[in-house]
Amino acid sequence: MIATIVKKEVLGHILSFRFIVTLALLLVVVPVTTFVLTNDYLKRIDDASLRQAEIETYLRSYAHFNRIGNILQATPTPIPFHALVRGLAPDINLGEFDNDPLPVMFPLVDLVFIVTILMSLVALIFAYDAVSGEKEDGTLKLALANGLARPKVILAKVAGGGLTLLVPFLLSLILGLLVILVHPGVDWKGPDWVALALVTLGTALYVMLFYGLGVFISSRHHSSSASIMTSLLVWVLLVLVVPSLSPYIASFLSPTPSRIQVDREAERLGDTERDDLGRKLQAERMRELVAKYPVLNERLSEADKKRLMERDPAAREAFEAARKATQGAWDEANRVQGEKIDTVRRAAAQQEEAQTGLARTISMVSPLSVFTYLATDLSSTGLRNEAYFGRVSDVWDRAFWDYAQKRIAELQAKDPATDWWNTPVDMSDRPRFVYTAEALGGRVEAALPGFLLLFGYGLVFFVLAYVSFLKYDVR
Amino acid sequence: MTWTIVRKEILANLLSYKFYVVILLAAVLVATSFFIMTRDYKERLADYSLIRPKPGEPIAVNPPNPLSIFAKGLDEAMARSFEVGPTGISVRAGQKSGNTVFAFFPTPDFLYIVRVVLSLVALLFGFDQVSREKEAGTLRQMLANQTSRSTILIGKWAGNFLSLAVPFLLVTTLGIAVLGLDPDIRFSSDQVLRLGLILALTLVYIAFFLSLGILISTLTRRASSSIVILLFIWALLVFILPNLGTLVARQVVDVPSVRALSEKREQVWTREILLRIKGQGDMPSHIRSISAENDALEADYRVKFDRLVNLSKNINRISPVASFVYAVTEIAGTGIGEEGAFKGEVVRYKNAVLGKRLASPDLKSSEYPAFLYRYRPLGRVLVRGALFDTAWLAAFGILFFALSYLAFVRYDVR
Amino acid sequence: MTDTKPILKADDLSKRYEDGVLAVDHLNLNIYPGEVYCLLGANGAGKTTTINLFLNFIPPTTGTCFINGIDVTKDPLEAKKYIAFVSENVMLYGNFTARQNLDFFAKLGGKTDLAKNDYYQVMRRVSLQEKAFDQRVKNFSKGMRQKLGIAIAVIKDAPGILLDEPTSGLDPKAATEFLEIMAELKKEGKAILMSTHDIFRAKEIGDRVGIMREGRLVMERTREELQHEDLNKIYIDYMKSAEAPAA
Repeated sequence: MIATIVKKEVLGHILSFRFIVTLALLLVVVPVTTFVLTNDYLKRIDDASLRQAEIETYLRSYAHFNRIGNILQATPTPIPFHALVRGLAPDINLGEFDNDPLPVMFPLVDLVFIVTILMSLVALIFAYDAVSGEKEDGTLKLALANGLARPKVILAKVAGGGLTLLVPFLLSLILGLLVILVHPGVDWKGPDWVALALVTLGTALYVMLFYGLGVFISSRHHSSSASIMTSLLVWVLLVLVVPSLSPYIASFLSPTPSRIQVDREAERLGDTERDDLGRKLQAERMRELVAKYPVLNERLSEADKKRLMERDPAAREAFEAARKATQGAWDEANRVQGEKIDTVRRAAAQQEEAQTGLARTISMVSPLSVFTYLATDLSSTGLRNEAYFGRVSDVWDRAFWDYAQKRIAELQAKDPATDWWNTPVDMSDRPRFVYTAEALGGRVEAALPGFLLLFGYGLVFFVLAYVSFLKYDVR
Repeated sequence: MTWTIVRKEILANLLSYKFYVVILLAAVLVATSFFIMTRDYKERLADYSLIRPKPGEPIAVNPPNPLSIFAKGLDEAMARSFEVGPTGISVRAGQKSGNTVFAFFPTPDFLYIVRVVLSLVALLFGFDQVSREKEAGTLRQMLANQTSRSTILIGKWAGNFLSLAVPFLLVTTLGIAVLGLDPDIRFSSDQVLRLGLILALTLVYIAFFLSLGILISTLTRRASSSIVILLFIWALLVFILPNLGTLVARQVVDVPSVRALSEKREQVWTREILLRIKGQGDMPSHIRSISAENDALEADYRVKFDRLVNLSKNINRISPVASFVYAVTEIAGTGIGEEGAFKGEVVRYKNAVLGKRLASPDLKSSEYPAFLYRYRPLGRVLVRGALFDTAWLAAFGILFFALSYLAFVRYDVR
Repeated sequence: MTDTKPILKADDLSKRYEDGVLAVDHLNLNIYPGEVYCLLGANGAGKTTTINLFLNFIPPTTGTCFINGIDVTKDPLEAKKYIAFVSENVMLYGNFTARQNLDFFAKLGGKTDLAKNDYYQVMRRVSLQEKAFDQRVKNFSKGMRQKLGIAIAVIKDAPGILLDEPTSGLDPKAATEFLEIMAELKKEGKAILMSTHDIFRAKEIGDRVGIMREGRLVMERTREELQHEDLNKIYIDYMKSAEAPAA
């Protein structure tokens, strides 16, 4: 029995105008997007190797340990998944003079965008008249008059509609993947395919969720025109408004000092306040020394000092002690202020982290955000990857620092007279930064709560639809 | 006669559930957006007061633009501080916060609300204009009188436009009036004029989508097919075409990545400094060559980037929505063109500062000229594209209306 | 009666649709002031098409419709000044009250200087209940809406009235009331063309009755002729002969 209704639902959708339009639209948009993104990925690969070559050329003549830190920096390289998912745009680059404003004006289209915006809209377009439309046509009355149980009807509706919806998406995705596969430059490995399969699973959950929401709204209305109106309003709020508002709401609820303010504070602590402290400590220690070595109280010119030190070992000892005391005072001032700066920076970082976490949580009211985090984390293009990249580049930084120390020590052992910091050195044996995406296990683990959340939302909407439909007045 | 129909349309809207829900939603969103963006602006203003250079400091900082409350655009990039150091520009205060969630979702400014939500609202007003009257039999009833079809269509258009535009303008002007009471936010008369233009442009944008909605409703028999088609067109126009256009343009125009550019600058800088340490040449000549090479890089990049921007603009203009975004951001002074002009000014300022420094014997000076960025005058902004974009948007609106007239004259009212 | 000008005139009127169906086939009609003409016929006989042709909703393939001597295709807006229309199933504007609907259509009909009382008077005349005057039409029954539709026609005060199946779906009381209004309008000198399925009411109200089949006017009787004939039988006979060739 239930198979009959599912079949009717599937057939009803497949023969419908909106199905044809959806299929046509997706069959164009997805392959075009993948084609464009694939080419863009290849371009970025070229750009990356060009940059690498420039660095190598530079290093041939100017590989000095002193300034090399500015040249050799860990940079993320494009990953094959960029042919489908772009994630956080790296080009905005506000920290440098050069920035690319285009993605700020128009965010890029990628698979995540197509799923989150287009597919959710399509799901609601498919679902808005699932109940109210059948009521208007009188077919609902007819079906229920034939002794069909309501739970079966609603189950079949959600299952049939949701499954039909996935067909155009999967077809267009396959077409898009063909584009990727025929490109010799894009090399997808096993983990990439697994990640893609998981993203597709997430898409299925996401689409079903919106379909369930649509059926719920439909079973709360008695006319399909009112149903589409409500569906669109809910869609606008959930998909377009909540995610955009969430970081602002979070910054309101959990404020952080602005970075500029923190920088200023750190500067003050490390500059004027350190100088005050240093001077104070120096004066204190000098007072003790002056008591011990009265010679320090005399106002002497540097030349006189030098002469005195040569003549008188006691004076020499006094001046030596004074130098040490001064050094100690300033070291102490630097240490104390350094700790203060650390505390300020750590507090700010903690506040920022709290705010980011809050923003993330608030945004997860919207399934769009849940899916976005899930898909970008799975494809190593999101927040998790930024943290991961931070960690691996730290590891490399340390490795390079160790290498530099070791090399300098070796070179100085050979020839102590040369200033090895500022002399070109052959660094071809340096540790190189090779970026590889995080192992799949970690990514999947990170995406797990997202899956659960999507499933939970879907379940809630389905239960709501179920309950409303059981109470639905079919007259 | 037309007026009778206009009044009927307004009355019908005033009596419908849809009208109140939709207008309430738009009003709430506009108000929320104003509130949030005002807060954002004030925070940036507070940051500005911290980094604001003291007299004589060689720092180029542009205060945040109050019009960024309406269209933030690239204002964050333009409100950074560009400090002219001994050898070149060092950029500070790029990002006011480390909250990465900002990077994921679009900024909910007035422009976004209008672009995305108001366009949808206008379509919802238009999509069933003809089919609903046909289903109710009122279309036949109207046409049985000495009412011409063009009268009906114009009346419908005007009636719905007014029912949409009037409450929207009321809410917006109320919001702006509240902003005007805030002592921290001061608009110059030029900015008030610009704001007026932005509002006018918004009306053109609404008119465009209303015409599109009516057009599709005259081409379809059923309201349900009309809304399906319209939602797909809407998604294409608002999201897909403008966003894909930029990527397509990148395929055609070769532009080095900004990272490549930044790396190049580092290389130039370290090379010259190392040469100096080795004792080749004097400092001023190294500074000069760093500056010259950086300027060459910037100039080269500008040329390529401008080509990219022009191409992507032209591709994006397939969708009049992109035209709207360009026109509004340029008029607000937060657009791509303004940012380019601003950066040019920063480079010029850097050269002036370096020139003064190099002219002094110890490469130091305590008095540098202050940096003051003057936004391009409105006339120039309009001539440089904003006017074209407005006309383009309006032309599409008129075209769609004309097409809907043609379709409606042939519409089978039986 | 023939010495006066017909208000509604169809002259050799034909309509062939794009799908090849000949809906109206060389129809000639003349309806004079103070006359009620009833068009009988099965579904698809061409009655509604004829009315649509008079309203210029569709262009004729050949022939001409005249309203008050004005060629409908040449000057539709002028012609429509002299005609009022009651459609089969008009839903009207559900969110408007009866008076608001009436007001709107009266204005479209050129009556721009009416007062509240004029509307009430017309609604009383079509015997719409007083309490419904300022209620939303959304909740009206079919009969109430039909009365309001007639009120719209009445208030326009045009010399010609076209009615498309006005009594379909009305209960007997409402239908009788409707006939009374028709009789009054006839007395006022209106020329009325009414398409209907309702043989008995056609016989009762019609000065002339025509039967249409496959677009042709196959029979026409005057009131006097019908007094001696059984219209019901004639109608059934004609319908049967229509099926005969096909069988």
